[in-house]
Amino acid sequence: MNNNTIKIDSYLQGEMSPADKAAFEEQLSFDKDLREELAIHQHIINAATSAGLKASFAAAIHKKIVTRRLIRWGSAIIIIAAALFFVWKSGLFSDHEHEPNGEKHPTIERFNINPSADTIIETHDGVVFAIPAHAFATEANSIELEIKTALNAYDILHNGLSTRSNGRMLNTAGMFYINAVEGGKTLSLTKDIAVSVPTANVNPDMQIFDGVENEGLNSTTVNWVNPRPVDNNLRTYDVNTLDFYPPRYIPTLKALAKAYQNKKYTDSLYYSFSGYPHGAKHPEAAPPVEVKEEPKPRPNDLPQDTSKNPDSKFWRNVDAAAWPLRMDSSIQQDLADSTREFTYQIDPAIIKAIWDKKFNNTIIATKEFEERLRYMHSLCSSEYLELYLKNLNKPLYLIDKLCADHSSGDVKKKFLEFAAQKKGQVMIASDIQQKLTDYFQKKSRAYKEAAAKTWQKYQAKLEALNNSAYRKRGEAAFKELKRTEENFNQELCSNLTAAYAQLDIHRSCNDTILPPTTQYYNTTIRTTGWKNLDLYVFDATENRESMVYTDPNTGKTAKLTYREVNIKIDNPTQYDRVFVYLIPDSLSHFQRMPQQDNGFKEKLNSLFRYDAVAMAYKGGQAYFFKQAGLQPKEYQFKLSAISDVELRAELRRYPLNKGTELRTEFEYQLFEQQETARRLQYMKDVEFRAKVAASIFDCGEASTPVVIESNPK
Amino acid sequence: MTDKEIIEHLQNNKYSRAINGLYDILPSVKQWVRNNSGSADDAQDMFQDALVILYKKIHAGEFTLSVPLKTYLLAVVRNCWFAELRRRKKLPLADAADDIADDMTNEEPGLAIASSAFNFLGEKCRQLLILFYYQKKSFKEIARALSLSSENVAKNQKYRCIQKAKENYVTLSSNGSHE
Repeated sequence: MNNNTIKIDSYLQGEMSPADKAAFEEQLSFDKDLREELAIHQHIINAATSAGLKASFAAAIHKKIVTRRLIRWGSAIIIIAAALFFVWKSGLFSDHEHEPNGEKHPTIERFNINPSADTIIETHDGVVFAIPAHAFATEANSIELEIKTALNAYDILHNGLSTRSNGRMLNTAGMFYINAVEGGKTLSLTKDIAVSVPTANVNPDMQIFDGVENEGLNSTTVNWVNPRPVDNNLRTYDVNTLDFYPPRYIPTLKALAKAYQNKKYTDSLYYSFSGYPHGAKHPEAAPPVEVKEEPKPRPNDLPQDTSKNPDSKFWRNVDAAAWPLRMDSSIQQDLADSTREFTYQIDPAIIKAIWDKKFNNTIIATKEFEERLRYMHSLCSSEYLELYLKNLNKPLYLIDKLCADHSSGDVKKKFLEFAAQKKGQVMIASDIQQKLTDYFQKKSRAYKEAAAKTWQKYQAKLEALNNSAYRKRGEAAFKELKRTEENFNQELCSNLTAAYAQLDIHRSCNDTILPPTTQYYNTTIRTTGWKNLDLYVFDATENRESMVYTDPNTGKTAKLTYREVNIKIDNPTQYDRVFVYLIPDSLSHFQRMPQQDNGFKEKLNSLFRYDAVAMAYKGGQAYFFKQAGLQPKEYQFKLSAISDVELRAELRRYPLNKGTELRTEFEYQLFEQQETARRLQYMKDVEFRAKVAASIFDCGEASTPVVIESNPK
Repeated sequence: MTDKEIIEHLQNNKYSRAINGLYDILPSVKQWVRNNSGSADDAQDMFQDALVILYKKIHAGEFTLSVPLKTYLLAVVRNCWFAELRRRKKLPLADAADDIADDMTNEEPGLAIASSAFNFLGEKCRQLLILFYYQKKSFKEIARALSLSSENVAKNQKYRCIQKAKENYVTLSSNGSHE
């Protein structure tokens, strides 16, 4: 080493006395080598500074990467690495020799808790203790917990703790101490307490040690013994590979031969049930015209709408005031906010919100959560699920425990079983937890609203269709009535006129249409004959039967003849539907031929000349056949395709608007046919949805939650 | 985070916060360096170098935000990486370096050599010099951090380290003439 280095450095650091400095600068002015060395020295200092700066950035980036990786892999538990667990009553921190005035251990935290309730405590540095009810051997209703934590080197050094185990150095991830005191006496522990210690970096080899005091000459040291592995982390999966459906949903779809393997389909179907059990209209709410004619589609097991019932067991159960558990205030607030929102079984909107890759690397994306969710689907409440969602950054078993504490009977048993698995957690940063919770809240609300809107829209459309069908039917029925009546009157008139003519009586039919008043005809004996004949003719017209009437006075005979025509359609099954109409020349309206067996039969009045038209539709294509001068015999009609324009032209040939009328009638029949199909489809849909709904909302079926038993109606 | 906020964080030595705002471009940096025959580690290295350059510029009051910060950093990374490749004597193509960052990376050649000279030091020396010149620690603190027996040992060690770095520098600059 040359002396220049020391000189240059003290010059650059400003450590030289003014005299030395002046001398040095003097030397610089003529010593080229010294000037060069100074420059190099300065470069090196700059390089050291840059390297330091670079290290700072590297550390910041590393920190960021680690955080992200933890989130990405969900690898972390919080559980301590190499955390150290004190033997109870070892009293390390509370050792008064070490803590004469409390200044040495500034991190002591004291909590007053009710030992008969489940309690969760989080220390200032994020260590979480889950203390079950009656964990301490005491009957008191308030005890004091002393908790100390030393998670970093600074705290550990300040607490005078060693990191040695039987002489070997330990790489510690933190230490904590807990002691319970009642009336100055230390209490012993009778149940396990679950502890989570936060760490940035998880080392899977970390173990937990118990601390044992060794009395030394003038101080107490702690030896760490009895190492055990820490709790297992949860492994996360891609959330989309997990199954969050109610357990019976997919099997039901499979049984109904639906595309149960197509997740796009099963998702959209499932999410469409958001808000199904309450709020939206039930199938019966459709206009009355629908319901009268069709069987009620709803099976008994469809969930009942309980929203109108103030005594609803569900409401009572979620009453925030009745919430028995002690929790940190933020959870409690969250619950109070959320319970009003989700009160029944798990709404598909909630599932839609969490079945999202945003929840990858949270407890949601674990097989363990999947298992719990399957169970929760069978419960008549979504608040258990809410608990998991509100505590994404807590170990699963703690949340299991919360659920167990909130329930009773079989449900409690089940959640205790879950808790006993001691499943850990997926570490996520608390701001991310908050973001995810917000996201979930927002999304599930949005999905719910969207589902409700879609449902309303669907209902409105359905109602419009029903109303229009109702109106069209009414119009058609009225037209048909008018048509039949007018036809009847005209035919009766023709028949009467013909019958009278055969009896050599000249009367116009109008004479008989108006029935004479009883008073007037009482005095006129001859009128009985007319009356008699009218009735005969009336019956013949009404029943479309031939008649023979012999006038008792003249001996003359009047005959009316009705003979049957039978029309068969060539290959009728190929059409969606076939209609055959008779068009009598002397009547103002057509007659629709009733369909019998596999043909169309009607009795023709021999007084009239009839044409017949047959019309059919298949898909959108019209088919047509016409027969002029119909005779009372059997026909075979062979329909052929026809364009709408041609059909119109064909029908227009018939006089007295009969063609137009026929066209309207035909269109109405087609509408009716589609309407029937629509209603059938609708009923099928309703039935299908009811079946699926029963598989989704099957609370109280698979397993009866105790909350129901404890609140009998 | 806006560019202005990031610059403010750098101004106030809030490295982590600044990184939070800048972390997003690391993937693009990695991609680009990989495409130019570098490794992921090279990319990290260049990214840090670029941050150091930005930081210095800001603290020297020489930085004005004329393009988005991320664009600027990417340009600096490019120039740093080309310089590095040139140093490794395998510059692939005479890729035109971005003008925006030109003035930044064309530091005095002495600094680049000093940086190498420094990096050739042993770990302990590097630590010591960083602790002293960058973190401005006292010799007492340095002695404790590096488990040295006394302040004096730390002080002497510092001179040895800087002396060694200077020797490295001289060696490097005489060898550098062969490039």
